[in-house]
Amino acid sequence: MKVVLAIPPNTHSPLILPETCLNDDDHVLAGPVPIAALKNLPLPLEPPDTAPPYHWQEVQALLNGRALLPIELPFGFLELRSFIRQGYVHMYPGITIRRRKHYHCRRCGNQQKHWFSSYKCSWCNDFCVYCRSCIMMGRVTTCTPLFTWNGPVPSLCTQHEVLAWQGTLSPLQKHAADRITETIISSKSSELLIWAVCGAGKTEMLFPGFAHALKDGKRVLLATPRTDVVLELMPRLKRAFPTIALAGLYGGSSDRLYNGQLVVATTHQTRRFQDAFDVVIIDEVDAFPYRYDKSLAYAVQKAAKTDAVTIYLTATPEERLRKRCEKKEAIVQVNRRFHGHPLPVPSFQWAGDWRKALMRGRIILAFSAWFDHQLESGRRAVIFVPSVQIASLLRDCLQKKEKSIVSVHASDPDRKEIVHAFRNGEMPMLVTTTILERGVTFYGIDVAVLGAEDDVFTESALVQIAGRAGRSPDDPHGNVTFFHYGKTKAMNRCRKQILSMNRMKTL
Amino acid sequence: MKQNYCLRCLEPLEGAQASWTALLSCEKKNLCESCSDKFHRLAPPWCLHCARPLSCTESCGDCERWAKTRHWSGLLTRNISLFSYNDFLQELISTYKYRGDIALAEVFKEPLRNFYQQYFTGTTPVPVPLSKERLQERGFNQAEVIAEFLPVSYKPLLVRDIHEKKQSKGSRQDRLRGHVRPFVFNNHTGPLTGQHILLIDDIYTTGTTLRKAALPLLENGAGRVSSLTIARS
Ligand SMILES: [Zn+2]
Ligand SMILES: [Zn+2]
Ligand SMILES: [Zn+2]
Ligand SMILES: [Zn+2]
Repeated sequence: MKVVLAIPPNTHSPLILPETCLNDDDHVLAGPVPIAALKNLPLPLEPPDTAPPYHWQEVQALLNGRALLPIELPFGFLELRSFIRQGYVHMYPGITIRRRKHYHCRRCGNQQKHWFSSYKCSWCNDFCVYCRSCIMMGRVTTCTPLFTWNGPVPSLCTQHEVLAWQGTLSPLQKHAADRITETIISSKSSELLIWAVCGAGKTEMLFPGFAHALKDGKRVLLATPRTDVVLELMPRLKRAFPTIALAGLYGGSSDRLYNGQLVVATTHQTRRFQDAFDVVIIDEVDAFPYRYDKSLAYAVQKAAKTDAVTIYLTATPEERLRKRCEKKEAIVQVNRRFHGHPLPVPSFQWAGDWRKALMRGRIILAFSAWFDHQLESGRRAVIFVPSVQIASLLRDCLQKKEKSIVSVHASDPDRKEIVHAFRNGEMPMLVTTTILERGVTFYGIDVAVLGAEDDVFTESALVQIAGRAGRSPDDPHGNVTFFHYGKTKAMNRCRKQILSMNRMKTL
Repeated sequence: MKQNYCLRCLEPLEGAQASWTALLSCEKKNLCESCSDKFHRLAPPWCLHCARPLSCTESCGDCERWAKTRHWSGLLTRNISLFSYNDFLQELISTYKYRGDIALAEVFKEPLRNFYQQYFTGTTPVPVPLSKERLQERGFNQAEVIAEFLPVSYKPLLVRDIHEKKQSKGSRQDRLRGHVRPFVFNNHTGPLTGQHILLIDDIYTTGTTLRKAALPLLENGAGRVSSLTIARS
């Protein structure tokens, strides 16, 4: 679409209007051009004092706290004509151009040149640039506007009691929960880092704080890197807060435009929000591959209101975040699992050139012995390997010993079924790439890494992997073995971190 | 050195890897190994008329059937597709076409040019058009983007009148039987004079769409019509 910058008669401030929403007596200052080509973009008008158009509550519910593309609207954008002309709905460019060829995606924050691409666009008969980084949510181009609500904000709905959960917290959990609640109640735009070991029972620690915020009518976002986690949390939150409007957003979910007060979303989905939340929880803040860091920060910052409280949950905080929060004393450690037992400490096992052996269809002796022992003793295990290729090679080798062994990786179409089958005990062991390193919980398993020296196994990945073992209170002592061809810094640090967590005094 | 990234998964391409391939194939590399391994490239032996993989190069059953049908025989001389339509390519094409990640088309450039030069030199490329509505919805024509890659420039000789329905709906019989004429010849310089036209499209499913597109071209003076497509389902 093309837009114009125009001043409607009897008004003073310029407005961005779709070319097709222009009236004959409007005074056109610039355009029609693709929206990114407009210079001197006007700020949103003061919330208008004219009576809002008919059905405005629907549009408010749709666009308040969101920024949507024309194709994301459940109706044609021309339906917004009077909203845009009166200033109830504001348009801004999906991509802005700072200097020549320096693009900035306003939806996902991408500024990397190689994640933009240009094409001949039929929407505006021009060459347009689009963002590849967030393409899975629809194409943002230099000619696409984002629509947001600029009218009155919906009033808060307060409730008396919202928490139906009646479980108890361990003293450590309670300590963390109190800090979370304090942070949510007391100060604005503050942050808090909850550094909790894998299996500490993070979700329950959030309940009291959530209850406080939700009771006051505040909106709460829990952003997590994985769809699996959204799916796992939804029923638990529904039971804990039965009267609260709850939305679970992930790629393909039907709640996409549902206005929840409590929203659980994959970080991708948070990109559709803007100035929407009073409390933002970022789960597994370390889980994001390096290149997504910026994009995540952008998405969360955009979804949060300017004075929102941000709470980070992680088992392996990244150094910068840790230091920042330490300085403000905004850090709480939960160094015991909810069942009170220490974390399993990884042991290192030399495996020589295991890769070369595997390429020839052989398994190195040390690993083979471990495997046989697992089979004999009937202890179930997850085996982590550095790549998809290694996973299938190892699976082929292991299947000669035990037919039921399978492997799984991120883009495996049968991933869900395989994980389910392993959970059901249909196979004694599972070979996997790093996808199962977090989020997914198995009870009573051991863990091995073959090729722990590989670059994909960072300190935090290894801590997470080790954290898969011993999750069950009935079987709290899983074994963790790193098979390696040379110890790495990451391996040593992982061990040190776990040891120091275990040494720390508990409350 | 400028860092290159895999067009599909956006992973950085390793320098060593890139130069290896560069040495071996002179191709400009735009996919990582694990992505490029997932393509199933088509090559003879295949059906002479539709590029379906066969044990020896001859005409397949489907094409025999086309040849015997009164309305449809002789419309399409030959179709060649670059790849078979496996799950990987299906996902790639849908990200390209429906999500609109146009940059992905770049991965078809080299093989498309090679196939054109090997099988279709001298032909005039014509991308299969979209209806106005579909073009408005999508913002680009996926066949046109691909046609841009060919060493000769394409001619927009067709327009699509009828808003196309989703190809996947309806049985094969329904699709074959429909005698609607969605395409209209549209050339400012008058009728053709015996040229060999090469239709360009993303997927060859039953070949019906391509045959429907061939009809107005043949009626307006084209000598023969063939097609070059990305995927053979
Ligand atoms: Zn973007
Ligand atoms: Zn455009
Ligand atoms: Zn790739
Ligand atoms: Zn055939």
